[in-house]
Amino acid sequence: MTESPGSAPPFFRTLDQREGLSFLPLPNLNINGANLALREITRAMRQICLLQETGRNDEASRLGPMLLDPLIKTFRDAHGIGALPDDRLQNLLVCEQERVGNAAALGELLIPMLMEHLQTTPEANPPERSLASHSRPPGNSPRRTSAAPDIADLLDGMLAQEPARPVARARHSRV
Amino acid sequence: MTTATLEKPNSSTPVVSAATVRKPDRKVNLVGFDLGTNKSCILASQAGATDIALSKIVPTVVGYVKDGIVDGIIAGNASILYGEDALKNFLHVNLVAPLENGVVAHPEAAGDFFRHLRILVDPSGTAELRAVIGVPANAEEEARENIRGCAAGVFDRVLLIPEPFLAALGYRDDSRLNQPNYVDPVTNSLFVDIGGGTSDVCLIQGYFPSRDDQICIAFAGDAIDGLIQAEINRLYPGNGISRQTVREIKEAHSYVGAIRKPTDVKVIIGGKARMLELGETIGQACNTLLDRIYPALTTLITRASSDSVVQLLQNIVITGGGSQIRGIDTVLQKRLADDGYEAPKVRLAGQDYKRYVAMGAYKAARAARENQWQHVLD
Repeated sequence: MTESPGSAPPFFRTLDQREGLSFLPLPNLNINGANLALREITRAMRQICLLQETGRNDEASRLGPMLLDPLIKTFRDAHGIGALPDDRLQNLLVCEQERVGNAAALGELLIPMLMEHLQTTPEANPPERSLASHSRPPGNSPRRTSAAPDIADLLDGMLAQEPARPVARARHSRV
Repeated sequence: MTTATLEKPNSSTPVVSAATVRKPDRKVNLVGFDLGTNKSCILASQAGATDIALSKIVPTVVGYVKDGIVDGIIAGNASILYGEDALKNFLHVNLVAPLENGVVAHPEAAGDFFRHLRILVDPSGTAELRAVIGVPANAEEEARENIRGCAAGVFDRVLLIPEPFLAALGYRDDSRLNQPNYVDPVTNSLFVDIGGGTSDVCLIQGYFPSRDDQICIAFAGDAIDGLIQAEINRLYPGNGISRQTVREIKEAHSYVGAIRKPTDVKVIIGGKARMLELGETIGQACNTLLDRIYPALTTLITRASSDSVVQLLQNIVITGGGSQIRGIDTVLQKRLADDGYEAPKVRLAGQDYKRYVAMGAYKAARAARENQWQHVLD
């Protein structure tokens, strides 16, 4: 990913207080060990960004020194600081922040749609209640929970077993 | 899942129907309906109400007044009578039983019967009616569609649910669900619902029973009446005893197990009282029912998991009119024990057996979510 020097990325959040950083193109590292280690670093960054996205900032700030910093140090000790300058590190961070932000936005869009879909189509119920070809839920055992079965949930199970009926049918004679 | 059935307007549409005078804020009535072959039970209330406003058992019979009946003989000079009124005026009407073996056999009569029930629930004819209707276990799709057809123009929305499951739901004591020793019948039980047309056996273990968990036997109260009547006719030719009288004899003297003789029954033949010994006749007819139910019961027992079967055997419940056959619980329990089943316990549903299916239907009506109701439009 390349950015025009000096432009601020839209979801920029920093782990530390460094300022005035510019972004350089990513060096082409073809060493497998280095790539693996980089993936570990980006994964740790993603984890931190996820915690920040979900408001768990305390956990995110603890994960930095506990997880990310040691990985960065290990990488630099093995491959030299030139292989992972601070600029590149920030670049990686920005990528993960955008990725997590995009995923969160997609989730906000999809979850209501999925909920609506699940509520209106009993066939989309979990397999243990919906498959007509199976006579009972997986495990073949009755409920073990102490809670009484909810009637509406039982009705969902019944409706899931019924064959699909035509949406509308004209009747020509009244019984 | 919602479905819709459209019905063309008909010039013979009765005055009171689901289509009349729809106000934007029309109230909703919830109905639990046990559509029985011989007797139907209906419970109803407004949605959100805490009390049941209507609780009625109606014989499932329609009487079409014969031609030439003098004015005033029939109350209100009605042309159609229902339930008890039809039976009381049996001399002046053609009686039609809309159902046979639990399914609609005479659609017009069934439709008239449904419309009569609608008036009972909502005399104003303005409310939206949502009805949960009990159907025999594993009722064929055609039978279910016939019931929906009768519901068109009468109920606005319906749900068809197997009767033995509704019986378990109705039998469930909701006030005891939190008690540690209370076994919820919906969680692990075998229900035997012996009606007029069918005997339904159902395995209920906390999920809605599939087709394999239910067995419907087309042998029940009416079949017992038929056996008894055939034997009476063989023993006492030309007796002229009606099916209704046979049913009354059965209800008064039915039993299972070892033959009880003598069982003398007083009947009127040709205007004269006679005593008929019917012990063996009644016992053999009722034992035939037990012989038909028992294999269904053991079949469903084998479907239960080994972890659940011991508790299941402690929760076998007999409901419906057949639960009134004397000794049916003890004889069935003994038969299971003799066959090696572990500590079986068979009990009767009790005096409220007539209402359990309707009560379960009513509970289901109250609990059903908006999207679970099936539209039946007219």
